[in-house]
Amino acid sequence: MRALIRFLRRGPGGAIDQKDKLYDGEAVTLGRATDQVVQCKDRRVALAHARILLRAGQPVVLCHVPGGVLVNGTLQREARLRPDDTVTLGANVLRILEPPDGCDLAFSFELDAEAHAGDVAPESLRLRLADLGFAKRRWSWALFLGVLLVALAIPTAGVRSPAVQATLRGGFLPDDHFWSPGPLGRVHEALSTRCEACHEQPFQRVRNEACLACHATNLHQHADASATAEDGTTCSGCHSEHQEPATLVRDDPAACVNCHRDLKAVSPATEVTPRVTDFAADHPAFALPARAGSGLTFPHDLHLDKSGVRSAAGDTVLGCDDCHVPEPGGARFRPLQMQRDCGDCHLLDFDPAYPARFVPHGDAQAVTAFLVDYYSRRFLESYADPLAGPVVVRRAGPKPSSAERERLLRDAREQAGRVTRDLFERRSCSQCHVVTRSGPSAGDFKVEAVEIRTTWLSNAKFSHAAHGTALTGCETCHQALRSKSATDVLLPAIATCRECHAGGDARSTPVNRITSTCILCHDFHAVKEPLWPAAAQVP
Amino acid sequence: MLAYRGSRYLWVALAVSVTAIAAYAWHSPDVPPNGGTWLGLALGTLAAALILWLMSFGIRKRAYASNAGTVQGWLSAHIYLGASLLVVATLHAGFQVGWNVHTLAYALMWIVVVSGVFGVFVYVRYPQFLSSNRASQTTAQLLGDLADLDMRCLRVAGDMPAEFGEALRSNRDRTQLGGTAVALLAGHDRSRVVLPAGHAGGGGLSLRQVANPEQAAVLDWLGERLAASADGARSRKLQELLSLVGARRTLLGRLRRDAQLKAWLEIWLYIHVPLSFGLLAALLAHVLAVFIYW
Repeated sequence: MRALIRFLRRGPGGAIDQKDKLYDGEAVTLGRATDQVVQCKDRRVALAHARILLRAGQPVVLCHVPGGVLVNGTLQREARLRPDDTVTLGANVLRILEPPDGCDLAFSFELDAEAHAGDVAPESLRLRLADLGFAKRRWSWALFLGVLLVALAIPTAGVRSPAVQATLRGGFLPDDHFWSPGPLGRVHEALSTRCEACHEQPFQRVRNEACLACHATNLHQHADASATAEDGTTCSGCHSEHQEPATLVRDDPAACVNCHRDLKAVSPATEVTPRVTDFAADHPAFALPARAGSGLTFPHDLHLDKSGVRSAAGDTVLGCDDCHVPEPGGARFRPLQMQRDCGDCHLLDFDPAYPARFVPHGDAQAVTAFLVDYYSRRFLESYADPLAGPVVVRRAGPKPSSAERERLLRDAREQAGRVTRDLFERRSCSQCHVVTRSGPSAGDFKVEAVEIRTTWLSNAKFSHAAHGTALTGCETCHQALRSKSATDVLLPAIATCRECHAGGDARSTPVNRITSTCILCHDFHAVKEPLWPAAAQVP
Repeated sequence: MLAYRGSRYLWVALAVSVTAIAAYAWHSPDVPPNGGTWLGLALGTLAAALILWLMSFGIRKRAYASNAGTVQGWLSAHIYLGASLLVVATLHAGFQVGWNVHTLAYALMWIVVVSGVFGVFVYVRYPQFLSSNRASQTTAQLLGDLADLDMRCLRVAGDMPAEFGEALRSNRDRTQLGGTAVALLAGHDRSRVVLPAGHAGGGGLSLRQVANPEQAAVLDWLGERLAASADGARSRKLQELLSLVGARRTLLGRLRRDAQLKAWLEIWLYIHVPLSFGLLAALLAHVLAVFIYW
């Protein structure tokens, strides 16, 4: 199409400056860009704002911008143009003119003097976050200083001054408890408000002395309290606090195996020689004697006979728990006492007329003395003995003379001697004890000392209560049913324990076995041989 | 940003993360894993160094004369290594958390990194929305168009009864774009307008201020007046006003969307930067506290 463009400029005093240009092309483009046919230098005009082209011989203005162009005062996207129409783009005004011959379109183009460029952004519009008070630098400083104050400065002030520390701990301001990386073990919970109990000096590791400040008094049962860290061993090396889960006591085998795989290399003076790395693999056999000293004649198989034993109350079938009663706590069993545990069946009676009278047990000389007393009284008839059953009626007649009394006492002594011999050599005592004559007199008997061991394998800890289940009856480990003699050692060999207890590595434990680390049975702080020997020998 | 040099820093960050995970899985300490084991200390040192380097991005960005890599490369590395920091710091802590300064630093780190991830997301998606919304006009131009429309409205209302001019003037003056952070981010129009109370032709001079979201109140009011108009010339002017206010509504919508997109493009940085300085302070406190109470 061919277009005539008349550029108008209104000067002062109403003068009009006019310049005509002819354009040949597809369309007349209008916009702010430099490649537009008519360049409209107004901020509000888009780079390529609109174009005028011919449609069926008629000029039509098409707008590229959603805002549209003003045609005759109304916003349009598309409009047919006729002479006298006005197209406004920002401050630029196009007036359509009658096209001369040879032209399809003619219009004048000028800047509207009345229009002003328009305000860009009134101050009242707050379109950016920065305008609404968001400020990176201010907040950065505030957070940096604030966190430093709360997390570092205030707790540090407490560390440096006990008075400040007391104030902080009593109030809501952060004290050094804010620095605790994890909970203390339950037994140390009382220390959770007194960090200085262990952390004595800033930038100094927890010393052994801090631990011993509380534990020295009871530690002597476990280790020597004068031990220091000269050899590099620290309490905190094994006892680590502030962990989750709490691990005050290390239970991993490595803590032990690191030394015990070759103890000679670690401690050349040691008497402990076997190499141990794992319970299942190479733990040495239990150090049990072949025979136990006893001094008693006691066959377990007889007592545990399924058809029962004769007792004062008739035939009784005995079980292990009839004699062996657990101690409080259930770890071991109450040491046996003859009167209490055997006395129901093994009666120490001696006088068929008075079967409820028993000789004392435990002291051979006391037996003789008792019997002499007993028969002396009986023969002299000097008092009514309620224990002796029907009252012994005193023989009617005058009081015995001194000669008679002497004779009676002699008789009593003879009777006592006979009964003593009978008891020791033939009846009660000799049933269980080894009895020997120690002299010519009637009462000179000696009973061999009885030695009943209650503690075996003292370097390990074992609790019967932990093992008392239906799966593990007494006979699982103790072969008492076949034992004929009290010198038999009825403790199990290591193979019996290994039936349930596997090695210390949980990953290689077979199904339905128990992972058994060293510390399951052994204590680190040994009673008999402290790891750190005393600095000075006590004479 | 994400694909700089074939995403090479993605591979670097993945290598760092995988190495840390492998070391953590292989290491079996005597105590529960924590920052104090040798691996914990190593990972902690790495994490602290990472944090310091990540924060130095602000310095590199402003060192215009620097030749130490390109800012693009630094940004790409910043994004990927910042993400890997989550892995390294979590393994350093051995997954132990509590109400203490150590977890404060850890939590601040998480917020900073997550806000950064959000920042990457908006930087990738939103600019194209911004461009298509503006449709080749700058914000200043849009605002200029708005002023222009306002002027034309007043000119058309020039020879109409005063109530029209006053209403349109209040429409212009009480137009709200943004105003509060929530309105900006949500794209709410909190504009208001003062319209005469009562129906057309009523004698009352009382006015009421009403909410005018998307020019709805003004358009409704003009529509009412148009429906009640019996004068042809008046009706034509009213139609013109309706057309102008309608265009104003479209324009305001674009401006609001423009401001909204820009606000979302900026908001994450107001969290990311200040909290990273909080993290720096918490990190300092964390390290010092550990060694004061060694």
